[in-house]
Amino acid sequence: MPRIDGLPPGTLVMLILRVLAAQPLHGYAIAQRIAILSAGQLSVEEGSLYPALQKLLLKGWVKASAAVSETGRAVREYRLTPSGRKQLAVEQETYRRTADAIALVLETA
Amino acid sequence: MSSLGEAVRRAWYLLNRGRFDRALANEMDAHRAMMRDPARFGNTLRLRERSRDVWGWTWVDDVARDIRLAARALRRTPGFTAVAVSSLVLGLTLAASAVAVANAYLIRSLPYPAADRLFHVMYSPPGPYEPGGLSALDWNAVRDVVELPITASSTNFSLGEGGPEQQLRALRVNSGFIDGLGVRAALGRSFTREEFAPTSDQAIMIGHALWRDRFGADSGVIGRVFRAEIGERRPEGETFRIVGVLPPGFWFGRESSSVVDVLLPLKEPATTYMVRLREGVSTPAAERRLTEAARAVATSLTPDWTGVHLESAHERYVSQVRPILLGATIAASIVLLIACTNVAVLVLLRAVHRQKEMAVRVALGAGRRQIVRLLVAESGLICVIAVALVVGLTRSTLRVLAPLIERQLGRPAPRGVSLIGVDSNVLIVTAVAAVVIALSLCLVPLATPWQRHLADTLRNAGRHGSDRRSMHRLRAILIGFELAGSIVLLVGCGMMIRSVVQMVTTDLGFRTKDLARVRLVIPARVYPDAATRYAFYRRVTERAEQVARAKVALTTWPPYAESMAFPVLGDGSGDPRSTAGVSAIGTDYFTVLGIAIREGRAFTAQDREGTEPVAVVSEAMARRLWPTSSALGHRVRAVDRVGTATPSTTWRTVVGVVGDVRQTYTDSEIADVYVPIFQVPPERYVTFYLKTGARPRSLTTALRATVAETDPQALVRDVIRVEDENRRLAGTRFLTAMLTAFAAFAAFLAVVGMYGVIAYAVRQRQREFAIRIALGATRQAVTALSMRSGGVVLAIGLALGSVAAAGAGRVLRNQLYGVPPFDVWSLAGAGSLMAIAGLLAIWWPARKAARVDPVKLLNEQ
Repeated sequence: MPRIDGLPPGTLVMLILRVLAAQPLHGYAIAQRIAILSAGQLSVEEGSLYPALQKLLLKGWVKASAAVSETGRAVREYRLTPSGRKQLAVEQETYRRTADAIALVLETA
Repeated sequence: MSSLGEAVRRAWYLLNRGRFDRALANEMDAHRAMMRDPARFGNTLRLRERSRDVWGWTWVDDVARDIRLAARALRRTPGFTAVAVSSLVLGLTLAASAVAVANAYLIRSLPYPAADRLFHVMYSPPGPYEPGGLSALDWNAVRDVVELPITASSTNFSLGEGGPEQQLRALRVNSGFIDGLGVRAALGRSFTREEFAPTSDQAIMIGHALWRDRFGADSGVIGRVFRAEIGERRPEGETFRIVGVLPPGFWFGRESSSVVDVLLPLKEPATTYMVRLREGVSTPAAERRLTEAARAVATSLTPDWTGVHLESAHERYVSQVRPILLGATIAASIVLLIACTNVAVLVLLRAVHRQKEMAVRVALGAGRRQIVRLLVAESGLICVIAVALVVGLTRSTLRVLAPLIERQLGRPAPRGVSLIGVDSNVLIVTAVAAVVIALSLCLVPLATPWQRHLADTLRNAGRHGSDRRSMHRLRAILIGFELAGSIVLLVGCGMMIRSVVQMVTTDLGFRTKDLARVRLVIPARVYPDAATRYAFYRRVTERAEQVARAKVALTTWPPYAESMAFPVLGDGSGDPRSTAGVSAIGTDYFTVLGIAIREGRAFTAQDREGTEPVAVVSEAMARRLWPTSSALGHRVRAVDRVGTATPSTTWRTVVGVVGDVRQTYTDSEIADVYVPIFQVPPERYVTFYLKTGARPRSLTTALRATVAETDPQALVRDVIRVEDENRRLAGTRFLTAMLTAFAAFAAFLAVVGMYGVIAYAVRQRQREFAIRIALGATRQAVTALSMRSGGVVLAIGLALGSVAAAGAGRVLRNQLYGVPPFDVWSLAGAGSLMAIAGLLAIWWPARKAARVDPVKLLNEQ
């Protein structure tokens, strides 16, 4: 099966929040995590990752702090804030309900 | 996820943009380095921009870039920038200054709380006499409309203790005065209720200036007791205790310069001439209630009594200066409009010049948006620079001119002397005007063709940019508008100049050239009766005549003050009951004031106390009382004292008839009766006139010395040049000078604008002209050709201006004297002046173009 191109709209923020909920990560690691966790099915484009991270910073859902990557480069590490955690819960709930509803339509139509 | 937190983070980002950007760049570099296939990362720069966009501040950078570009473009054309900015600065400063003055007088209120509810009460219309018994008016009965009656009765107050004797301006005031005018003590306290009781001690509040100058600003003055002479009641003086000091600049009276020296509690009934109405009470309603209340107590009501009238305190203060201020503000606004139009014309010409530059920008990928933004930024920048300069310039202009303006207007601003300045009102008006100007100037470049025929424009690189018909028309309209505006101002200015000429040549019936008026006051303690006062009058006139080596004329009523009409009875066959201005005068009055004697004689030294009572009447009076015969030998009864309502019982024989005198330019009461000053009860106030010749200043000093020599306790209240009292002429002259300056500036701008446009148009057609000349056209023909379009614009401008000039007449109507509101002469003068100047402005460049050597020009191109 070929890899899924791009992500369903609106899910990128949720995915970033979700992987950050487990541990603080830098930009490259976030993309890696999502790719690994989806068993390579989902890929985060760099073109959308960084604007999305800016949005999270603006909304106050994540905080950035200076860190050093595994390869020894200066990077920024993103950490979930309490309001980010709340937002994750909201988004997961919304996503689940949407997915259920879509599934319902697909199965019964 | 509150929006407040978001706003804070946004702001924080704005402040730390540089750091943020660097961190992001580092991060992306690291990301790329970690990727197996860094090429997949994409355009880092583009990605950074997209990330930055999220924070919503990109417009700041864009605007900054636009401003930088605009500044660079303006720097490249310093001539254009300087002319545009300075035109706007001059126009705006003029307008802002006019608005500041108008604001200080017309908008800002009197310095009292709820000043819009303060009204003057007038009991007397239509005649000069008010009914009697009004001090008994029951203010409690009208409490539903009048919140506070404000009563003040002025009194003389001579303070001699602890320093040289000083005549002070004192007011006895009721408690309504204290509350209604919001009198607060700067030091000490104001009056208590008990202090208004008849039996209480005399408490006084003193003015700030008196406290500073006489008491050395000593705070220990509160509670101090001293003796002073008050009124004429008890010459031996009374004791007073100072309870408070008034705030600086506190005034009450006709003008804000009438600073109060002493306030005393009013303990006897007095007539109230000012009220503070309750909120929401209409003037007619209050007038009705007050009329009822006045009718209940008034004595000697005449059948034609029209009741009590109220006039807004602020309105009375400013009604005379309003037309002048409005005229000036409108004129300044027209100048500003013309200045702006000129800048717009400049911007248009510049836009045509820059077609090539714009074409290059478009070719390099600039969209319409970017071009428009650049042009808007340029216009905006010009306006911002102008406004920044205007505020400072207006401030300093007003600092210099405010005292002059106040003198010319005849009274200081209501808030106090020289409180004309740039306040929030003026700033708002200026800012709004600037924004409107900036927006309009921004619209101008939008009208310019910038993108069409891109290739053509670029190909025509060697020549000037192409110009099109719509642009010609737009420029013509703007120039026509400038011409019309200048015509309006010139017509206004012409009408005012003619008014001044009319006034100066009007014979008021007396001469004031080199005439000085001296007012003295003598203490009642030293001069208790008529005999001592007469003696003082004689002594002081004699001494003054010696010092001035000129005749001195005593009088009780000054020219240029609208005289009150007093009842006069004649024994003649004509109207037996009449009214007239009555003045008590000394012997040489008619000579000194240059009033012509038509019949009989003037008063002599023999017309004095104890001799036969005599009078001199004016021609108009004589005609009215004795229409069929000579007035000489007839008898007349007039008032003895200014302010009394009934003629005295003394019959006076008319010994002379003199020329009519108009006290002011609009004075209609030219019937006058003169009585010898030594045959009426003498006042403590003496006024005399004398010719000063060419040395008014030294004479003033000498006169003061003479008076002090005659009696050190007599005080010279003031010495003034009578010509300065001619307020109407001064006001008209002031407005004329101002309008002349404005009109000259406007006409100059219009002519310059005209010249610029024609010179430009001619340069555009230079090739064509060269070919025409080469083919045999005469230079005159070519000159005429290029003048034709300018001539049309000129004609249209003149026509529009003539129509609009009717409006100028409407605005100035009340300021005109002997000139009709639509003055053909002024219009003709203004029109021909503008036509000549305009023709010169178009002829000059046209002639220059026709003189070019066609061979040389065609070779060059």
